[in-house]
Amino acid sequence: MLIPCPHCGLRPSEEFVPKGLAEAPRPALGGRAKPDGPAWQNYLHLRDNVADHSHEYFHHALGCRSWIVVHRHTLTHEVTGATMAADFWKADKPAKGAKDAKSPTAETAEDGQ
Amino acid sequence: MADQYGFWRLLAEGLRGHTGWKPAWRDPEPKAEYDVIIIGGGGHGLSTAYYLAKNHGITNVAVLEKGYLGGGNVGRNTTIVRSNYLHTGNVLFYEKSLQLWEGLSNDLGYNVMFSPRSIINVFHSDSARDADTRRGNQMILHGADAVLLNREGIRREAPLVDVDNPRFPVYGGLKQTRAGSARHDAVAWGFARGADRRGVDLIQNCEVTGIDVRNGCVVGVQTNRGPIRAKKVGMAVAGNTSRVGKLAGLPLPIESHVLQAFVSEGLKPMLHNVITFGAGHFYISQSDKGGLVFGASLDGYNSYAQRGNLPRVEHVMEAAVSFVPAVSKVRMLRSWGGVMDMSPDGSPIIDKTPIEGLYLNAGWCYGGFKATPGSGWCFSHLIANDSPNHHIEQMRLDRFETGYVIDELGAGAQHNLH
Ligand SMILES: Cc1cc2nc3c(=O)[nH]c(=O)nc-3n(C[C@H](O)[C@H](O)[C@H](O)COP(=O)(O)OP(=O)(O)OC[C@H]3O[C@@H](n4cnc5c(N)ncnc54)[C@H](O)[C@@H]3O)c2cc1C
Ligand SMILES: [Zn+2]
Repeated sequence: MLIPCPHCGLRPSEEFVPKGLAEAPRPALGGRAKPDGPAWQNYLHLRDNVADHSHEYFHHALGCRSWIVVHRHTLTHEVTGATMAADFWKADKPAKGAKDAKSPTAETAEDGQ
Repeated sequence: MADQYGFWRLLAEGLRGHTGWKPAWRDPEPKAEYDVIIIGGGGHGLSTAYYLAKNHGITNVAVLEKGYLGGGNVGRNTTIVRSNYLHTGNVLFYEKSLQLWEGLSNDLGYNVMFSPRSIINVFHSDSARDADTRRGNQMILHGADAVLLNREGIRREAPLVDVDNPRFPVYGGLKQTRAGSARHDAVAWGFARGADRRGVDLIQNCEVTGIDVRNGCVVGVQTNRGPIRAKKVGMAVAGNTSRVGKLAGLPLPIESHVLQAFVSEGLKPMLHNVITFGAGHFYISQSDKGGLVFGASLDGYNSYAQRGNLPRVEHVMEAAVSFVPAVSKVRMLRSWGGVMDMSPDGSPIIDKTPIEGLYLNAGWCYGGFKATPGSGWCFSHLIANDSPNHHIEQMRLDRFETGYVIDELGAGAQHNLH
């Protein structure tokens, strides 16, 4: 499996540590207010866990050490793109399964690096 | 009936060309209504149906299986059976399950080939020895058995282990003598036959496609073979827990991952225990047919594919050769994968759900084969009485919210930590 790191290009999956489904944004800490229990439960534990296109965190541990979100299909293992994790929760979050123009894929990467 | 596969029968059938064998269970059409429906004909679903009939006298039961009985993880695992857990919530349950294993072939009248050949968890440092000593004491306090072996003990018990490995020298191991392995298919078939004989309908090629809920109570299920009514429905679908849970609108704390396993060509006896490598997650035993059966950890990414990738294959082979160098001479025969229902703390869930009459059995991670009899024993109790017995009191669905987790590894209660 090859992962298109937005920073390093197409790299073998052995360089990455998978870090689970990216399904809910991290809730705000809310200063001195009581933490929002259901939001944290949703973020930490509950998962849609679909057999379909999905978004997962990967850490490029043996590369640039970025946290990225990889767009993968959990039945076919097809990888359709990747986003920097820091950008992922911004408003223009890519739809599940959509090819991400900004990230290199097997076709767009200049070489296998 | 218990002697259906006995010596005289086998001899008689041999003489008349094996023409007299009958199917071991019926192939019934689904009825319009049952008292209890169990979704999933894996080990847990079948044992639940068996104990519902045997322990609770509830026989108007259907097990709905989308494929064939035993085609899921129950037929795909490395068959290690043990109760060497640390936390009360786990060890109480798994020790009950191990006790059931000890009498299972007799109880079912079916040889599940349970072979208590012992398991040894090898450790490679002083701190790991301390941790295993604590685990052993905890096991003994809960009625399980444990023995601490020193380095010479490992040499004696498992001479092929590389005790003097310069990178990971072996300091000793924690042994559970009553642990071992069993024949996975036979476990599914034995429970299936036992349930069928007590009146349970085992319905194959029957996929549940909807769960009908009215006023917060379950009333039945939709299937590809039509709707079926029931006041109680139990889910035991392992890797597909989230998908089936979604049919009832239940958000669940499960991620699905792939785990691979491997078997070698048949060899003369060379390993008589189950042994595990403490410096990398790796376990190996030898089947009765002579093949080495082994595996390691998950591939790591989320997956519903019953196959893994090559980097994990390479990792497993490296661990195998570091731990038992003789394996380098052995040819591999097969590898395969199964879909694991991973819970956040790595421990199972057997509980009621917020929907009345809908019960959940899930979160088995990579360890649910050993749980097969215990899971059915406890899940059937929960379904029959609408309340848990003491073996599963801590295996609650809400424990991640309340914080009363069963964090066996001490790693924290999030999926990506297991
Ligand atoms: C490679 C590997 C090695 C393992 N090694 C060990 C080990 O050494 N020791 C150990 O204790 N455990 C081990 N396990 C874990 C163990 O196999 C599982 O935890 C356990 O088998 C799960 O319970 P089950 O038998 O009921 O699951 P399964 O056999 O998977 O049963 C679930 C059933 O539900 C059915 N189903 C799903 N969706 C639907 C639907 N919508 N309608 C109808 N039916 C449905 C499926 O077809 C399946 O047959 C291992 C697993 C794997 C994959
Ligand atoms: Zn990178």
